Amino acid sequence: MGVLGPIWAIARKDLLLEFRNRDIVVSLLVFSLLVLVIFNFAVELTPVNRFVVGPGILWVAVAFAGVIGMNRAFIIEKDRDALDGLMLAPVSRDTLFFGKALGSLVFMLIAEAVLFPVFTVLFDVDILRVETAVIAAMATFGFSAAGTAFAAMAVNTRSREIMLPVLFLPVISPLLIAAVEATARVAEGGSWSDAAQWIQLTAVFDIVFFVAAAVLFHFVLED
Amino acid sequence: MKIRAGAALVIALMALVATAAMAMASGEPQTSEVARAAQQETNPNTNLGYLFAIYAITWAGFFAYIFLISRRQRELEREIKQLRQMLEDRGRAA
Amino acid sequence: MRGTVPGRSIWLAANAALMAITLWMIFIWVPTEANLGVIQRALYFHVPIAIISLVAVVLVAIGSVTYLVTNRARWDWFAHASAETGVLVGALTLITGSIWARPIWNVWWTWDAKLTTTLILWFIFVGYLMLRAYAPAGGQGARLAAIVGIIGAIDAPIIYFAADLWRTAHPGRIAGPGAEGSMTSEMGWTLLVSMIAIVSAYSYMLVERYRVRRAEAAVEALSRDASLISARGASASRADVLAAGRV
Repeated sequence: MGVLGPIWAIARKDLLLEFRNRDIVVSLLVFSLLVLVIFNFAVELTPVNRFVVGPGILWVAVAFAGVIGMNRAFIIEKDRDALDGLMLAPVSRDTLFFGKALGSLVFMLIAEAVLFPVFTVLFDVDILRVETAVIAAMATFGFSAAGTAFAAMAVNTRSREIMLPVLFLPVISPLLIAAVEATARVAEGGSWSDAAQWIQLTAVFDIVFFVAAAVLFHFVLED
Repeated sequence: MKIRAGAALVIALMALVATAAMAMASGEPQTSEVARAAQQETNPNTNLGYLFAIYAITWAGFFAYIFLISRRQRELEREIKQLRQMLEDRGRAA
Repeated sequence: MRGTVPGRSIWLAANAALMAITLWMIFIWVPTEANLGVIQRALYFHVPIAIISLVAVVLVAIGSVTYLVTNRARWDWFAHASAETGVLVGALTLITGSIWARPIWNVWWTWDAKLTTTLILWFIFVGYLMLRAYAPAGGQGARLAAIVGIIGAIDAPIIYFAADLWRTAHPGRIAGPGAEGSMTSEMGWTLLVSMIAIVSAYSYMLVERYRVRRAEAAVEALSRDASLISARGASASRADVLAAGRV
């Protein structure tokens, strides 16, 4: 099994469950598509501003949908008392964290794989490029690492549906800024070097929050 | 002991603030041309209202907070006294 | 507990005296700055409370880390007190800054790096206080809050860096108070005295808030004892004890 075995086992459990009832990915996807449509009504898009406004709307959709998806992932565990079962499993808290974060990462990437082409069609902003894929993967990585830690915390509180966005959205604001700006640079036809500083910022956020969330996670689930 | 802890806190805070102030002073922002132009157009005397608002709000915030927490503290002290009294009575009765 | 009261009264009186001296220096003694006019005098309050609101972030992080390591409740109380006073001072920083910006920058708000960072951090610590209100009482709630406190402090430089990069990526914004380049020595002294007065007032609030938190913990512990005894003695129900304690 090694180190990766248990992590994969936990992620696979989430993916299998998801494959059967498609709870999270479907809600993620439908919600994020709706955000795109709603923003289309709220903001007057012109050929000039679509490159500036579009990426912002795209990442707002991803962030809001991600909050809902990650809340869901932990509420399922909590309501069926599966979290206690997971905590009894002979694996470390780190392993639990990596497993759950991996599951969230896969769900979000699947949703983004549909969302990005739809965005390109609706907003007439071509983001179907290698650069955007790398940026999206990096941002989603930091998003799911930080989000998993916060979702595990929020699920233990009263009014948990509101606690996650309230705690999580301000914390990831630098990641959102970086993702929006990097996507905008690339969408305008820029190359790697145009988005470089934003990609670096995303990388810094990813590393810091991956380490911090992994270290702090066992305090979340301590009982 | 308690007073010493409070004094230590004040000294530590002063040190922290001094460090922060020095860090801020070293990175002094430059005045932009636009800001200068905007300043020259404003009549200094019309800004008095803003100035008083700033001081009034800060003062009101500090006062209200200190008032609220000292009231809460008095309530809690009374509650503690009652609970202690009750525990003693119970202990004697038992 | 009663023994500390005279000391605190003296401190409170000293705070008031210091504030009075500060106000005299700010409004009467210090000369008016040439570029900005009278509104520049707002700096003597705004800068100290802005610095304190950042220091509060550090204090919460120190309390939180120490609590997670030592598991001693007093560090959690300290972190909680720092967060609440920090949110208050942060709110005052944002409000006073906004009022200052209106006549100087002609807008109430601009997405400058310092403003953005202060606002985002303020939201993180409002979230911290909400978490404290909604989390289960006792050790778990304190641990969750400590994690938020630590993450907030870790995030602060990243937010500042991102906001700074973001703003400079959008040219044409108006940045930085213009007054600081032309400070006279009187202005420096006024700022120093004001800083001391505000740090002292803040410390007083912090200590008072800490004592309230400690008293709350004492009430919780005593209520627990009381309910235990009444459960054994069967003379009064737990509800009676709690009701009596609340009168």
